[in-house]
Amino acid sequence: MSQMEEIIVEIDENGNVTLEAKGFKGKKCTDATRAFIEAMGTQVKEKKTEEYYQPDYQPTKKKVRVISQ
Amino acid sequence: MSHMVEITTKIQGLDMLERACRRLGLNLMRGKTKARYYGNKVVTCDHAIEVPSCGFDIGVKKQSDKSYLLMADFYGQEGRKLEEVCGKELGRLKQAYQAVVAKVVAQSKGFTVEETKVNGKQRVRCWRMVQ
Repeated sequence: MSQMEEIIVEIDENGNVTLEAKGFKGKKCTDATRAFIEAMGTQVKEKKTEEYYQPDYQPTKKKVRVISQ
Repeated sequence: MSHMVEITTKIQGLDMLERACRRLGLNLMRGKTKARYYGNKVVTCDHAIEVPSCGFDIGVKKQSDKSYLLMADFYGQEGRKLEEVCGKELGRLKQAYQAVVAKVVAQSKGFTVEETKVNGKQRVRCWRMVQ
């Protein structure tokens, strides 16, 4: 199933930037934002949220039918 | 939400600066090594940005880390004109520059981009669908 990855860039009237990454799992968001940070200037603050610490891959639970002998 | 970052502006690309200038109706004059300041004073730079209907220019000077320093004089009537167009401390020019950079980077990474301006803030929304 496809999901949306989103980056919101907000630039104030002094040219300062706030960058927010949504919908990325785990460290994929760091990779995605790196290109923006490198091109835009110097990172001064970073805040990682719960979603950041989720694993990139979450195995799906399978239903197993057990046939008793 | 998974990640939030704050960044201060560093001008690193001349092409993107040129596009930002065009957004504000300014002309980046590549190789023009003199920028006009108050009292007929002229400062040396690597490139200069001309501001229409203003007697002052913005100097663009290359730094040792290959970034560019923007220099301007906000004194007097011409200085106020410059500030009206480019914002306080050239903030509006920096804002336009960052919007151009965000758009270029996002498109190179396969994002769809939508740009809006709300309460003076420039917002660039970038999104893509992944499996």
